[in-house]
Amino acid sequence: MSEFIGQFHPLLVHLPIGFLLLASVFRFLLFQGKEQFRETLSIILILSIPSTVFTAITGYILSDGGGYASELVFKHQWSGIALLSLTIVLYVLHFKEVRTSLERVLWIVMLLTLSLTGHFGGGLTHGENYLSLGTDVYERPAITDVEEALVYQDIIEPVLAQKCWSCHSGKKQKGELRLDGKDWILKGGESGQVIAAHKPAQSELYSRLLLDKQDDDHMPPDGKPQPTKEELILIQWWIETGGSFDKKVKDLPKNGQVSLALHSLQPKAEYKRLPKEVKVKEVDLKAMKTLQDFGIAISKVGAESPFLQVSLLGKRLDKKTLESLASLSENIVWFNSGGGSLDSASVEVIRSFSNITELNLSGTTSSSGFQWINNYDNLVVLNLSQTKVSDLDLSGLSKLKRLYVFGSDLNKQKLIQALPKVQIDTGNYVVPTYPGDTTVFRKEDII
Amino acid sequence: MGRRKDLVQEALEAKFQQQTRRNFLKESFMGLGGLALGSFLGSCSSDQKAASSLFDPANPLMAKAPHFAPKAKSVIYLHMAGAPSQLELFDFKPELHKMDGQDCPQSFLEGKKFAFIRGVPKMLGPQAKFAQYGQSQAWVSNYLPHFQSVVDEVSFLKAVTTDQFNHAPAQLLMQTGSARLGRPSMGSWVTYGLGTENQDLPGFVVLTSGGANPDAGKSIWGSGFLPSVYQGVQCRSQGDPILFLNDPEGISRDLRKASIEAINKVNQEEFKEYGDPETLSRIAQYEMAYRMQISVPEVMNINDEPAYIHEMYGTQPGKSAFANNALLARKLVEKGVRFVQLFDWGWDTHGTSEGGSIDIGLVNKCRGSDKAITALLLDLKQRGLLEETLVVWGGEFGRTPMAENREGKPNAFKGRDHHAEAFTMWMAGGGIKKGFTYGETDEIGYSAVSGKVTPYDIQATILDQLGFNHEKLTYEFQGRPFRLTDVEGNVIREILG
Repeated sequence: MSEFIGQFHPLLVHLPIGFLLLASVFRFLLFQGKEQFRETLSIILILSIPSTVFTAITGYILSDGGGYASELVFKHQWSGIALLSLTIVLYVLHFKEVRTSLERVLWIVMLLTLSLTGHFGGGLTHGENYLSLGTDVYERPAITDVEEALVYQDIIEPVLAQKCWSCHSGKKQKGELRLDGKDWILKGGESGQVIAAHKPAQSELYSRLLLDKQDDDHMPPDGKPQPTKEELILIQWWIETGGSFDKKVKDLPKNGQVSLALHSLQPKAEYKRLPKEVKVKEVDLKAMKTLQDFGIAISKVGAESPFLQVSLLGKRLDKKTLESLASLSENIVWFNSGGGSLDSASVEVIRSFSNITELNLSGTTSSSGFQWINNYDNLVVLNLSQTKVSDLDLSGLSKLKRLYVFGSDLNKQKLIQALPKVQIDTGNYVVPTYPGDTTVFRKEDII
Repeated sequence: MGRRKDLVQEALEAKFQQQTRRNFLKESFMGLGGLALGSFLGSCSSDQKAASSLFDPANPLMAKAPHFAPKAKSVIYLHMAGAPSQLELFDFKPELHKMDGQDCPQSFLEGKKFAFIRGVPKMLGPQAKFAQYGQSQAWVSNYLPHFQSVVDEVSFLKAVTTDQFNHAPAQLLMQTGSARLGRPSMGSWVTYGLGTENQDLPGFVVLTSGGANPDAGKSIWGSGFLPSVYQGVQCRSQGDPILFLNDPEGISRDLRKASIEAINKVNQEEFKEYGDPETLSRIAQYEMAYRMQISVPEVMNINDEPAYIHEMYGTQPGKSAFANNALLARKLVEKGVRFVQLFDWGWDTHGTSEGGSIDIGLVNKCRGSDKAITALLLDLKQRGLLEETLVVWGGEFGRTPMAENREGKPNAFKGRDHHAEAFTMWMAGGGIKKGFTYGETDEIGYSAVSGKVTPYDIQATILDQLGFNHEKLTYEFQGRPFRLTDVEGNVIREILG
């Protein structure tokens, strides 16, 4: 019952705030000589007293339920009481028509107390540093290799931070429980320990997550962000393996389900498709039009982007189109020769694409060879599949991440040794032919 | 002689007809009132329409920029027409096995409608054997022995739902965003938005196999209210790739060129006189058809592919086969075609015949496509194309965990009825997460439990990977902007890499 009454406090507080602000406005009008508002001010002041009293009572009941930082509750409570006393004093002074400078100072003190009480109250509901506009955000640790990740720090803590800390950390301690550190977690809450090592079913930190959402003991409460299936699997696994705070993923045994959940944490081999922090001039639309009229696919990579994608589709360039292409050299980031052959004049232009990130020369021949490629600062993806190239030094491509060499004459072993950080796809995949691929399955074949 | 006179007569009549009607309208617009009206109407709508339309009649298929930098440049959509059984391929349900042969609980039937199931059907356990494969530990059945090796390339959507349980409307919904006829298909929207890389080939190619066109007919690759230049072009893997494209007997290519030039000249005159942009579109189409006469037979010819590639896909040269189409899909994407749509007919396994049963017919449908799909993914991968090509696999709905009992009697073979509440699709390449499963169905695969997605969500995701905000790719028609996803659709962010 007390819990039911207490929850009205955050709602009721807005009444005295409104009344007292309004009262101040009318007191100011009286100060201006507008005597007709005397009675109005009396009514507002009379209303503020019971509403402040009710608010204070519900506030006391709410704080009695616990779960709030006690120091802050103390400040909030006493400033609230001060506010109530001030309101009563001001009412009496108004009733007795005392209008001295001291009375005016008391009005200002009341307004300051009101703001302070409100601020403490805000800190209680929204966290102590609620005014600091998201500067105190939990930063998720980056995982580069899941096997090397720390189970607690890199995998479990981020889940607790996102799904539990809003009520169980330095800000609030609902159920006297904090989950923002090893010692707090091991200490547990008002109903005791939350982790029973090796026994997830008996660990409240895990078992409560599994309860029905309608259940009052379900955590996080209905309506708050819930842990994902993978996160549940990982928390269970963490407790099952002893709830260690310092072990790495590779040190703990795992089943298929856990491997799968861990796999989802492994960062995807990301690569930059567009150069970052590069300023280029606006696209020369006239040059772009010349190329389009020649039948070359050229377009911005996105409507607002200054970068271009070009696909030659094996078309041989003449002098005019080469000039147009050269004038766009710093805008071009994705280039596909689309087979065909490149003469030395074309190569000269293509090698001047200073910001290129993806170069596709699949099936292309070049009268100048291909060594000129080893010259791009931003190149991330290089496709040399189906090219007649047998030896190539690519050590100058510092940002290269992916290389396709299927069907080329390059020595793949040598390449893999020379470029250890590059993901090299040598292709030649085989799909074997099974007896079933060429025969018809019949009724008699059912086992 | 008489015939020639008739022709002249006809031309004159046509001219007079045009002159009387058109001239009248033209002259009235020349009048002061007409001018005022024209500018008044102009300020109402046409400017806005011009600004929102991506259609450039003089060059309708020119490569265009999407809204933002895309992950994928092209799409290969493998539509298994008829709806494959998710319960025999990907959605492993051991609980259903335990219920095999029991009466279907009433709770699954109350308030539900089925295409053929009547009364109380029996539950039907999975007919295939399942195991987990790859690093991602994805469940795949023994019906797909090749696909098992590439599960780490794909993202499965295990809880796709739809609101249509008959083939034609469900196919239309999946491909055009509406269960009724008349909307542009996904490939049309994409070529409308992006144009195409190769001006000598259609931007949107459709390849069919399995012996029949999809139930919804050719309108599922139609352009609806979008300009007709964006409709899918059906190419055949047997005979002439595109019908009515080759020169008639006795007409040489030079003569063809001369006649197209003459027609275009007449059209140019027409455009000068009336200024109708569709005339320019017509000119562009004539020119494209002329170029396609050479380039299409070239790209549609799989014979010059090396033997190991044929071996890899399991092609059947000279025949109409899914494997040939899969290889063609790779060739077309490599040549800059924007959207390649494959329809493979024959996955409708009700159990009314041996070919339409889930323990015999379905095995053969899998045998006819499993190797080719696996080869397609690996071939795209080794050429660096999988990074920029989005591959989508799926049917139009799923199949029931109950055995079908047409007219209340058990069917002759093992089969399942149409089921709209849960089925599996997968996507690969083009910026989709590798080795991932999203969505779950209940213990018997009857309905979606989590990660539920709709055809609109799939369409929104495809457009997103191509660089489009699906809510902004619109076309003004009948006084309002239309879009592929209508008023629905959420990008399935969970499966984006």
